[in-house]
Amino acid sequence: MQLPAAFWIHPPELLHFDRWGRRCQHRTFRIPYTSSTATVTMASATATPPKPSARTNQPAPSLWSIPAPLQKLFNQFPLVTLDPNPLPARSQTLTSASDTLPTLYIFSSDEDALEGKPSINPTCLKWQTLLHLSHVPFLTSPSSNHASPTGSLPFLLPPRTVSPNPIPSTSIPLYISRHTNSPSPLPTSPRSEAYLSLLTPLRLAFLQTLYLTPAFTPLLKKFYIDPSTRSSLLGTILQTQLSAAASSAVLQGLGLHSQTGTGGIDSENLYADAAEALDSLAILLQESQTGWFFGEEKPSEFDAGLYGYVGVIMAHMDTPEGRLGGLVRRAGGGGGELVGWWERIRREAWGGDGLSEGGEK
Amino acid sequence: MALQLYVWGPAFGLPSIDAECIAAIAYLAQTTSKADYQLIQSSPSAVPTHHLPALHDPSTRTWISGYTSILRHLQTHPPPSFHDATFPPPTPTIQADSKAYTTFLSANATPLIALYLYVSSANWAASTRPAYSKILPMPLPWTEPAQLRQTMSARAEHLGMSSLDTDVETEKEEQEAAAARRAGWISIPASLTRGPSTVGEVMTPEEKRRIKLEGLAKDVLDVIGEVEWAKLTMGARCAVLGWVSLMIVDEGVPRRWLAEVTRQKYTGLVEFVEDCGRETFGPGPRGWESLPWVDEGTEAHGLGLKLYQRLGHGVMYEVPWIGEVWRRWWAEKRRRLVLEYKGVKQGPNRDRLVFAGLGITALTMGAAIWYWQTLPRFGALVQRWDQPVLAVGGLGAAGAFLSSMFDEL
Repeated sequence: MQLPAAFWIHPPELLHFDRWGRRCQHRTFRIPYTSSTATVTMASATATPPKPSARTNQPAPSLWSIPAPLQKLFNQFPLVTLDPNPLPARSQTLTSASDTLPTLYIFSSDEDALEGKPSINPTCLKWQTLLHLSHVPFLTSPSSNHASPTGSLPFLLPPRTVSPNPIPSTSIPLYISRHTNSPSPLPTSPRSEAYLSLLTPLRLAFLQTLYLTPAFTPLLKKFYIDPSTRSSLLGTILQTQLSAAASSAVLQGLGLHSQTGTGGIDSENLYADAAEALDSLAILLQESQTGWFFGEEKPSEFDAGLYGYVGVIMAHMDTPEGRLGGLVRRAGGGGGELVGWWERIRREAWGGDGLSEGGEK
Repeated sequence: MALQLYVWGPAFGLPSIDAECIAAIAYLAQTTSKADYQLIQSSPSAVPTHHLPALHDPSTRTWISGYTSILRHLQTHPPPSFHDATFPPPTPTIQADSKAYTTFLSANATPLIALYLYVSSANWAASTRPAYSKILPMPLPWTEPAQLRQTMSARAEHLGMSSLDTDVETEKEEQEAAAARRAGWISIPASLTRGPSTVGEVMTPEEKRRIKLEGLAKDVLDVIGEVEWAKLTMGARCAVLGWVSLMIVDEGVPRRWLAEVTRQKYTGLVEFVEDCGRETFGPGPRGWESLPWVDEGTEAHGLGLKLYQRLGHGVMYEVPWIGEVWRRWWAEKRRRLVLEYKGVKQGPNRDRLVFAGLGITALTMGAAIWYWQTLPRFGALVQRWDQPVLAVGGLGAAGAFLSSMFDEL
């Protein structure tokens, strides 16, 4: 840093030379309360007086300006400029189509959601099926609980041009009745409330199968862990957390302390309870003449709710290790009511094979 | 040998304090002769399934817990005198309806009872907690009721009525006040503040939430109030007896919202349950006392030691972090015992490995701590000069001569 030339012109009485012959700068301090002045020689001595005339014509460089060699070095960068990344595949469809169609956020993988395939999560599949059954066109997008305003999936985002407010899953029936010509859903009858509680033992057995049976770990990984993280360490941690949450949910449903661990769960009883529940549902279905629960003309929310479980069970757990598949097939004395009903809903909502035709219907 | 049904002890003038236990007792009392079963007053820490009611069937060497499981076991492995007129059910519809309503009761009426008798601080302190103290043998009331309250509160959590638990609220307020004091805010002593001035401040949490609570109760009671229980199976009838008789408990309960709602609006249901109770347990308010109760002490010798073992586990569960691991390990161990007893082959036991690992870790930690303690402190003197003691030995040759003289003396 160069100082202006005038700086170096001092009153002669303040110019001193120290014992090595260097010129020293003196400063005068007034010490309070003593009214005397003390002259202190600072250690900052300038060894050689600069020649003030040499640099007077150049503009004084700023304190923050970069030295030229560094500037040259920095000018080399960036070495390569890459092209911008394309947007993820799912966002392209969403940005182009979500101006006109609502989007349902569900547990799914990127590819499956793009094709509108059924979700692996019973609650998501319930609302997905109900929207299909009501012929409301919509898109699906993979998401996680963290993205949901209510803390759990699914939720529906109306077309971007209509409203920015997400609709929680409990308000979806209202949305359906508003956007189709169907009448608003009737309040549920006490008997259907009672039968709805049969989904509780079914849910406990489902949790036991998916989260706590080692044979289904690959399925769990594929649908819940791989979409969330690619790191194997994080995946393991996530899986442990999911299993712990599932076991505490099962224990709580059984009336045990939620930290008892898997040692407190009697899986035989869980499956026996689920079998009895499925039997009762099959008997209820036999009563109905229309092929849908409670003699309705077309499948209702109750049908969709049960399909949430049965759909996932028949798609992924109809194997020797997955005992629930066998239970659905044998329900109601082996008459195959539930399997027949499952195929009817699949045709009605998903158009045949149950894997195609997402938002087109 | 007779079946043994382990249940929670009697309270509120009912045979048990738990709905499932009442239902199980009622079912056994109606279907099986008294010679074929024993009722044992117990607590979950005494049974390997950690849940009451628990049925021990010595003939099949099994432990079964939970009302529906016990029902299933009795129907598939009936004791000699077992007779249930409604089994097998007359029509499939009755079977399905009975199953649906039983499940509905256990899924939806349990949270209501949890709110009424467990979450609500006033009711818990005035009636439920003393009832547990009465039915549990001595050291156990220190640990078990608190854990039970935790479990029951978790079952009612989804109803979002945790404000009935005023203990939590008071604790929170105290913490806030303490934080304010620490931060240097001026605090007004309680004696100088005004008393409650608005209606809202004098109302109890139950009174404030009365409409919401009544709504919750109505959601459940509307479903079970319309059912013709007499047409359903014995299992469903016993279930409604168990759950509803706890819902209408009002003796000694300070805030009786659930009993009031049920008794006022669902008289048919209450009448049916009271008739059913008389029919099952005999006339008189305490007819169930004539059932074959067996004292737990005569059943298991050395009960005192076992009680302290159970207390020890209860205390371990309360230790933060370790309690969770302990509970899981103990449950796993008990489950293995049950399966081995039944004759199911088990994989190798890894307990020894775990304990050896824990022991080695503890030893290593101990050794490390001991070594750390022996190291000199930071800043401690590492060299010391002492002034030599002036003795005759320090005086050269004369000194040596003198000291040898002193030694000889």
